[in-house]
Amino acid sequence: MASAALEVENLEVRFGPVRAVRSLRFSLERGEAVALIGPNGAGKSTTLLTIMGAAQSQGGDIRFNGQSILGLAPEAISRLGIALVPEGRRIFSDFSVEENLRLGFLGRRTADGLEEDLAWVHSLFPIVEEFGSRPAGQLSGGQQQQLAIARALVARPEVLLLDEPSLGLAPTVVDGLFDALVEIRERGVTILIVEQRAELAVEFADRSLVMRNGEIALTLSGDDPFDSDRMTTAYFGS
Amino acid sequence: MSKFVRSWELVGPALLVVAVALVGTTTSDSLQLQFRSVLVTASIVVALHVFIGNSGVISFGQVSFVAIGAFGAGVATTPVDVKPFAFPELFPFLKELELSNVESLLLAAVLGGVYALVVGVPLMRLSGLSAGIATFAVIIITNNVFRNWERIGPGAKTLTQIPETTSFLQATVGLLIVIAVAYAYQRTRQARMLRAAREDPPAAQSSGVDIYRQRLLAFTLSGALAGFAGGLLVHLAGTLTTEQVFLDLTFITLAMLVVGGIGSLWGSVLGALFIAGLNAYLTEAERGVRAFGLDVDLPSGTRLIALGAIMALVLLFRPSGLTGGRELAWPFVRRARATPGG
Amino acid sequence: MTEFIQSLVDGVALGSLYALAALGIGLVFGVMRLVNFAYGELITAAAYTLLLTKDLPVGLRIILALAVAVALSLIMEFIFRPLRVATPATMLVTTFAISFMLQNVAVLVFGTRGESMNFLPDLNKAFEIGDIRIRWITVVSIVAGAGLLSATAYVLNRTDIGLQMRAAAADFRTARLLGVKATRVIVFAFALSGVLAAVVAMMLAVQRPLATPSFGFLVVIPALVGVVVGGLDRLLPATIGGFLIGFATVIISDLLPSESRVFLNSALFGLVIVVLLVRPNGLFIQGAASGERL
Repeated sequence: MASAALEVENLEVRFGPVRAVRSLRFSLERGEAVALIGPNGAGKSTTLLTIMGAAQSQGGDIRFNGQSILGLAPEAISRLGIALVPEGRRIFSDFSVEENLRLGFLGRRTADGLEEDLAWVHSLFPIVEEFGSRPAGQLSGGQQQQLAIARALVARPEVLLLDEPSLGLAPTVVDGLFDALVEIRERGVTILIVEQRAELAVEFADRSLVMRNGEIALTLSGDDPFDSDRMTTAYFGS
Repeated sequence: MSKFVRSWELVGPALLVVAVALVGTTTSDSLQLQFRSVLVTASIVVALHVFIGNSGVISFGQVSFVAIGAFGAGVATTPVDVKPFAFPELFPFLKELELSNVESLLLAAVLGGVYALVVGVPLMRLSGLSAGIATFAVIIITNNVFRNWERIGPGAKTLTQIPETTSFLQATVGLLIVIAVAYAYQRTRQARMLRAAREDPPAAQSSGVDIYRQRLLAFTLSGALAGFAGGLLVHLAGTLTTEQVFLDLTFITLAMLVVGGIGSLWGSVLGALFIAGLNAYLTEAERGVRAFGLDVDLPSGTRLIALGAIMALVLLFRPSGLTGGRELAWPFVRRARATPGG
Repeated sequence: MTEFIQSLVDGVALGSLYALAALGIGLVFGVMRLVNFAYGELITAAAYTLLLTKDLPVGLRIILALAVAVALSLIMEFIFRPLRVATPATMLVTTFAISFMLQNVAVLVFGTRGESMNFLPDLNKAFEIGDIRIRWITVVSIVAGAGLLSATAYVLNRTDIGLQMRAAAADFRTARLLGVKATRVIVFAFALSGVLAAVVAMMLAVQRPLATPSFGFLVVIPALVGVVVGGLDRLLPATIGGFLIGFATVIISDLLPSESRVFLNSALFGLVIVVLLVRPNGLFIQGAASGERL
């Protein structure tokens, strides 16, 4: 059996005496879209950061296509084919939109197919081409989010991690984002998305994992109806 | 923590100082000067700690107060009949002045404190690198003025003919006084407020701490202690040049503080004694000395290289210094561990 | 009037040199948040290289000076790696310790008395425009300064490595997440700052022909002050700050009556204190008086 795209096994992340992530385990199959939801402080963002090598773990393993990536530097993990759209977008506001995008494809593993990918990204997010030479700081929140996702996609990642993409954005803008995410999933990119807006994420994803206190409290598959009672229990405990 | 255990934070460093002094009295004459010099340098470092350790603000200018104390005490104790030949340009009232040894030390402390107050009033509003550069500017200006203004001192010439009154006893007692004052200050409410501001300025401010005022207090006290140490310094060998109280001294004392561990009185004493002791040993080794049963003879100049290398190595591998910023703890007390790990 | 123009020209020349040094310091600070006190030793090393190559053709001397400065800079990059996570105080004192140590190595090997480098001394000759005497080295300094500044700006703004460097300086963590190789960017910054140091050394060597252990240190102190006064966080203000210190040094020196000239440093640094009190975050950066910046 082919190994899963991403496997997290018994992951431990501690900040001083606080266990932010406890013996976490889950995996992502190729082409799957999985949502990671749960209350604030559950360790969701920390999980994404640890996968990207931006946070240190104290135990367990993370495997990408069967190969362990624990302890690698973020730039190395990025070049292997995982991209993160960070919380708060973190675009470079003083640089132009074009330069932001360029940073993304400088992190590409191979120059082949660059034209194609750029064309696809431009069709997904037209503003990226339109606003090319403007400073990225001039874009609205929603547009910046699009730029952040575009920037990650230009590196042609196999796995795309998103940390709270809907944060601070109006509902219509968020709908547009999720439409784009559907297209991205159809393209075969494996997606792991951390979201505050649980309903949106659950609707979009094939599977949803509810995290609380550093571990997974509940797993929902795509066919499960959105059950508020189960969710409340999972979020806040019985 | 019981009072006894707490007092160890003062007693510990004091005992080490006395031990070093006692060892010093047993060595050869040439080494004795080195030992006394170590004790005086340690006084300067503890004075630095009073401000830098408690406020967390790096000041490159404290040696200015050492300078004013040193030159003030030096000019004041030069015999009146020598003055017209040594410093012809001196202000008349200074020409008439002759003080006893202890009086000159008090004068040195007052001069240091007043100068620090004057400098501190504008500068204590600054933090971080701006404070560093501004205080650096102070030492540059101080040195520039002392080197060229011959109405207050010898200018570029060497200050000489000063009575060499800094004996082992005086150096040791002086250092102990400085340590005691530093300890007494850091136990006050004011010092605690300053340390709170060092850890978390916005939180401290919203709790009503007047950061400016507390910094100014620590800065002035630090200046007075530095001035006092300057008084001890000038009476060490009876001579002084402006170069001796300028960048080399600034760097060495700051490095001692950092190597010992910023924020800890014990760290400042330990760092000073360790580095100054090493410095003294290497100076003698350069002259070819038989010490601790070894014949050592190093080419001159290696001492400073070795010192620089040792300091860099300590900092590269233990960035929080030898003590990690913690005070000396009474080793036989069981204490509940607040957090796991260091 | 002619004296005024003379001062201006000399001020611009010295300002250009200090601007280059400030740029060298700023480049490393940008990617690593490290203030490298030992930067002056790169300049001193280049100067001593010029001293040791007195009998070689000029072109070779220049290449060797550049090579030595860059090599030493890369060695420093390696030594400073543990400092990437240290506090500003520790960084400052450690780099100062390295600087101190290297200066004393120079004392040990070359002694404290300076020796003449004899590097392009003919550039000290002057030509006249009307009543103004301009030395050739002044012109060369200004041209070299402007040239290198433009070249660096080009590299930063129009090349891929420059883009990655700017990204690392703006937001190191996010840059790494995008695949920017941290080490490569830092090494490049150090190498570039080594080149700048060598050029500063060469320009100075013409005017101050004696190679001494504190050759570079005496430049780095004002340059560093200029960087902080200009505004440490951004490269352009830092460079301008360096320029202003050099410029102000000449202007103040020429304005002071000759008996008071010994107090040049007091006047200059007094001005620095005033500027910092009014603009603690640097001349070109808005900000209130409080708040730690490092």
